[in-house]
Amino acid sequence: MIVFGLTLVYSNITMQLLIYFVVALSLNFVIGYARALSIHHAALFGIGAFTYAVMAQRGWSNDLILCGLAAAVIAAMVSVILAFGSLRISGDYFIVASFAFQFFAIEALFNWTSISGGPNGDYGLPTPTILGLAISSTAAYILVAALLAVATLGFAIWLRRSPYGRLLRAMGDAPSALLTAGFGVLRLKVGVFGISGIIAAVAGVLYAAYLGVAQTATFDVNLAILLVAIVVIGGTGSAVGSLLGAALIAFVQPLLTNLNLSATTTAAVQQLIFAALLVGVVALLPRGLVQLGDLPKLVMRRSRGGSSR
Amino acid sequence: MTLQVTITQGLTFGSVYALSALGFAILYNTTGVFHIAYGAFAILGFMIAVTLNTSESAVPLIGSVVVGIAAVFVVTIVTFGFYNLLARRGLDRLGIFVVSLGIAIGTQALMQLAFGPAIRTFNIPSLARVHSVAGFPFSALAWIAIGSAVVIFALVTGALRRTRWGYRVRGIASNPELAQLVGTRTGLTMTGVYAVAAICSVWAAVLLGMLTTQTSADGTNVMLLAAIATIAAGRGTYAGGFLVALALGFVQPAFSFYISETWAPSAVFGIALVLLLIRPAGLSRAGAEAQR
Repeated sequence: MIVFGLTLVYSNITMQLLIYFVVALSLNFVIGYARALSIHHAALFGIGAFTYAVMAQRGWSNDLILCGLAAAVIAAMVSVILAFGSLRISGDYFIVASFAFQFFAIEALFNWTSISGGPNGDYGLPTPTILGLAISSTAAYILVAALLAVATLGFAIWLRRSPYGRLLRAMGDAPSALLTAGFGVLRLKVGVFGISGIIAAVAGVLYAAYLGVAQTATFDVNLAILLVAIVVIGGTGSAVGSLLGAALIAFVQPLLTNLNLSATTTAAVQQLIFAALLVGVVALLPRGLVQLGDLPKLVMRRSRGGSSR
Repeated sequence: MTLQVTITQGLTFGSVYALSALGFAILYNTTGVFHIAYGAFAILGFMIAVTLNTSESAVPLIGSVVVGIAAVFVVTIVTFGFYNLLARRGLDRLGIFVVSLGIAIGTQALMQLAFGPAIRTFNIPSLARVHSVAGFPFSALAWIAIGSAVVIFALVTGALRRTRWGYRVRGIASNPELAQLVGTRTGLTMTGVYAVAAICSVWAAVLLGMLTTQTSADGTNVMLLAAIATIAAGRGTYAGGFLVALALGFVQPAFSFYISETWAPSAVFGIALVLLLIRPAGLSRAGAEAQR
């Protein structure tokens, strides 16, 4: 099967790359700007997926826009509560609270079998639509995911240059200075947590619609850690970094599948590669893989400095 | 489930969590490092012990646990050496946390490859036999769990309060630079801290492996409960952490008994989350003051 000139395997990789890019970029708003290491992003992504699953399976709506709006409202409410929490706790304490929320949300969803379908999940989800148009081909899914990725990227670029983005950056780097200057941290935190959660949930809607299944196991703490790894390996606060991290995830898995290992071994090897990258990148390239882009400039500067001496 | 069973289970699991929290707390309070790989290392020790203690290998239980603890002790020393190296090179707390996260998932992956994804347990029927004490059903294992937690807690806190090593540990915890300036042998003192952490974490994981089952992926659970207890009690208070962990042990059976067995696992994390949000400086006054 050929989609946009790509085989099915590459179509899946492209789809995964786009979805992970969107989720990683949204997580980057919180990690890169608010400097809060949010572990619960997988849960927000999952909330989006189950919103679609419930709405589509119960016949309420399978329109991606409507489901996206519903998921956005739920994720925004959860994110705002967590943003309020992050005002009271920061650093290690916020990380533990974030971990606890991730566990709590996924455990609660798992046990709420009428919503999540329990261990089997919600499967056989109906084909989604957008304004009445059925999204039935892989090409259509890729197009929708690409539009979502472009919109998120556009927002990231705007945020970087906007006064709001500069305030967010200041909040992460020097919150006391921001308070002294008369800016309220609450509004900024609620804003960035809310936006980040909404984008993750919308990506979750598309992800569940594409797979046709939503299972709590997909959104567990391993995915949560993987998302943090994507952002940190690529580079915090950088859209290019999120793309690099997402590409690594999207390409490593099919490459390992070619080695004909068992599913468990493949997952373990993939995890090991990401662990090594995470430790190596933080230790050697604190700004992530995007820092490699500075290497040619650095080498040229050094060589110029050397020749002038 | 009866009320008596709920209380016995709460005491048993609470003691195991308390032991685990004690190991996490001593590392966190002394080094300031949020060692997220703590749970993965504990499971590593358990996996080594359970693999050695088979009928074919005929390694006695205690011997296999000692080997597990020794392995985790060495790994902890190497890991904290690495953290110190990175800190000296200017890596901030968030960076060290991320490195710890990488080490945690790396250890988990290595365990998956070495020991497989299967559920592991110590199957010792004689320890699981239940005897009734005033209507409360205690197994020998429950007594071992409660007794060892109390003894280890008393020994560690006693040593921290009354021995020269304890003074040094507290000195390093409150001001590491000053402790070095006044001639504290940091390396030797910290070796003791790593040993205590390894003993508490691996023994807690082994007890959990006897009471229930464990897989290579269970480390995050172990770490999270220990971290929640440490933080909810307030940094610097060992007794508070011990008590909060003990209380967390009661949450799951009590929730199963009074409300719903289905929702019990999520209740533990839900209550912990609320605890962290409403009382971030810790429950105890001493902990809150230490935090300030």
